[in-house]
Amino acid sequence: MIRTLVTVAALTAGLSSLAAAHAGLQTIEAPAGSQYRAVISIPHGCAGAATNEVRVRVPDGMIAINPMPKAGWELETVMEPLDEPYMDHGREVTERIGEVRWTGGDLADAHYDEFTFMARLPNEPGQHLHFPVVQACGDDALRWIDVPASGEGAADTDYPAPVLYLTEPESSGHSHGHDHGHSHDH
Amino acid sequence: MITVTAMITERLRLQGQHLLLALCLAMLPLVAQGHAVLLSNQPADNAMLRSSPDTLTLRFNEPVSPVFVRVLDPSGDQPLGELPAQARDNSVVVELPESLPDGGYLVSWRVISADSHPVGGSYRFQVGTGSVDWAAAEQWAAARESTLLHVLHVVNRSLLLLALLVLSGHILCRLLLWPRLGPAEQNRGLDGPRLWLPGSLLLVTTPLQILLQGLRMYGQDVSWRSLPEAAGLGLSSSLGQSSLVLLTSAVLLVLILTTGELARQRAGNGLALLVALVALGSLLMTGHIATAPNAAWLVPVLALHLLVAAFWLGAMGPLQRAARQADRMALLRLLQRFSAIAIVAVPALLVAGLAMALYQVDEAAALVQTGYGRSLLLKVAAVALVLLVALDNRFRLSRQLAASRQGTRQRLQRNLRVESGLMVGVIVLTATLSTFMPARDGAHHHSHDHYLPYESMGDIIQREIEGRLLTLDFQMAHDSVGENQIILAFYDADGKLVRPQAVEVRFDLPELEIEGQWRELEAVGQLYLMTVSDIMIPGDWTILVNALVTDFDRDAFQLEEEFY
Repeated sequence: MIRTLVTVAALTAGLSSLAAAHAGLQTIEAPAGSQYRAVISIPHGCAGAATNEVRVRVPDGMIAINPMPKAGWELETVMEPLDEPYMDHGREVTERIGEVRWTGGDLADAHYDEFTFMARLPNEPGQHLHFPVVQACGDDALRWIDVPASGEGAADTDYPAPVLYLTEPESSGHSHGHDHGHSHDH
Repeated sequence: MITVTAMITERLRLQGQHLLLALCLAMLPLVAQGHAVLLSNQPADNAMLRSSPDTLTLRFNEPVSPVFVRVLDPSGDQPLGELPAQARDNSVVVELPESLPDGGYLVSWRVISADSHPVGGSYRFQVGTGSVDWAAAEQWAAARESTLLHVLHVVNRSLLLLALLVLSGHILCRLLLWPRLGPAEQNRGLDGPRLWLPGSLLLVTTPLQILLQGLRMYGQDVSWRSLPEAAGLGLSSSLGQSSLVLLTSAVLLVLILTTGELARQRAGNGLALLVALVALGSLLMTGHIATAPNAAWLVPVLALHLLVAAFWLGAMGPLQRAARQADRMALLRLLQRFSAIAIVAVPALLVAGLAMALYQVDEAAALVQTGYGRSLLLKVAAVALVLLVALDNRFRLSRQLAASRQGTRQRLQRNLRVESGLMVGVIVLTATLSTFMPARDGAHHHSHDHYLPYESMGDIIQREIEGRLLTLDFQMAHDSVGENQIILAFYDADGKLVRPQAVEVRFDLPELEIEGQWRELEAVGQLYLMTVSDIMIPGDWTILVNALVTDFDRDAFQLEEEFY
């Protein structure tokens, strides 16, 4: 029941942010600890100017980030050390992609596009993950980076960061075919 | 053979002088580096507080170590005794052990800046709304900087300016006027005037200026034993540094002018001119103009002003001697040449002087109300008199001289004496000006200036607001409507002062549904400052502050404040 309510609230928030034409996530809730396909939608340019750079800061707790290249855009990633290294197939992983950048593109103000990466979500049901996005158009930039002080839901400002709600994990039998063999309990 | 040796010695001497000159020039950047500047203080200048502050905070543009911060009442007593001052990042903080009773207070401070230069100043504030007898404080403050020291400084500064202007003016005249003298006059020594007086005067007054400056900064009872310390203090001040450059160039100048053979050579003249320019340039390194916010255009204006003043003053001696001794034609040629230059140079001098005066005093009232303004008015009056005499020389006496009228020479000599005398007066007034604070808007006001920069009737606003990432220290000069200054400082979780990438602020008045515009703030050092005039209506305003901490992190702050 509560979950449904939260989902409805999140959906409403998502819809209203679409209505205000904010940068947003295509999927606004996902099971904690699951493999997540983050699709960031860019609905318009900066005050009429075409977008030529999209940068997203990967929320803390997400690992195994796997960004999707886009034709016409250069893909760059920025590595950062992990606070808590983990084992993956017998190898210790000490860093992750902390920021994904698509640069050198040309997305007209009137057009829409999506920027995608795959990642594993932290196993923290009930949490909100914020995906701060900087959308640059030449010298101008829109910073979709505002996070509410409570850390819950979307910020009630002109430039809220896209937000994902983590639901209860699916039962272990339904893991997504590829077992990473570790847990992300923090 | 002898000539060859002489030439070589000459060469060497010239090279030695070039070396010294290079040294002088190399010293300039040393002095140009900035000292600590007081960015803001809490309580603010002339603040009227409802209750006693708990702490005094002086914020500088760089880390400083405090020498002392004293809180004095109008009678010069320290009601709370000596207070321990602590350095915190770029600030000096003084915690007041008990609250101050209602009344006026003068904060006198002195710090050593990062480049080891002592810097000091004072400002005043008031607790409660009662009237304060600032006149008593002014008298006391004036007495505190010993009258004797003040007079000595003005006299010494006057003599120094006079000697410097006469000496460098002489060199300008050499290049501009002498060629008009016939060989006979040159041989009679008209072009080799007695320079020992200004020369030695400069060599005495310059070191004395360093010492006097040190004593003024020392600001305590002086004994013979404290002289070396005061001299060191003076030397490290910007005035001391500029005096050092002046002293070096003065020694060089005297050396060049007293070396007979060199003085008669073209190279000698050129070198002398260069050194004279460095000497005059030392005056540009410090003072009200050099430290003014618009120094970029003011300094060249002052340079022009000085150059013409030097030429004018330097010409007085030679013109007087020529009026006494030279034959009529040579005197006429000299006068004509002088007039031809003066007709362009003097208006330039006046325009430059007035431009600086208008900049320094931006309200007519300040001319009468401040010591600076009054000295400036006197100076303008004296210059007007000099101009009248000069015009009499130019239009009446020159014509009479050309017509060989009887007694013209005597009248010319008398006029030139009056003109020189008035010019000395102008220089004394100029030296006096340098000891007052200019009345320009926003300048830090000393206790002897009545003129207030703005009405600050309300309380200072100081708030600390916790954000998601940073803590904002928000300060506003007062809580009344109208133009206002805001200062924002941001601290991270460890309490360290940090500077966000960009900061914007907005003022809303919800009761009238006024939503302000976002305004970008300017960073000064680690702080963000702005003068705003968005709050024009009394009411409960909401102030929103956005700080871009990193590319992906923005912190938002909000506070509500009532403005009257």
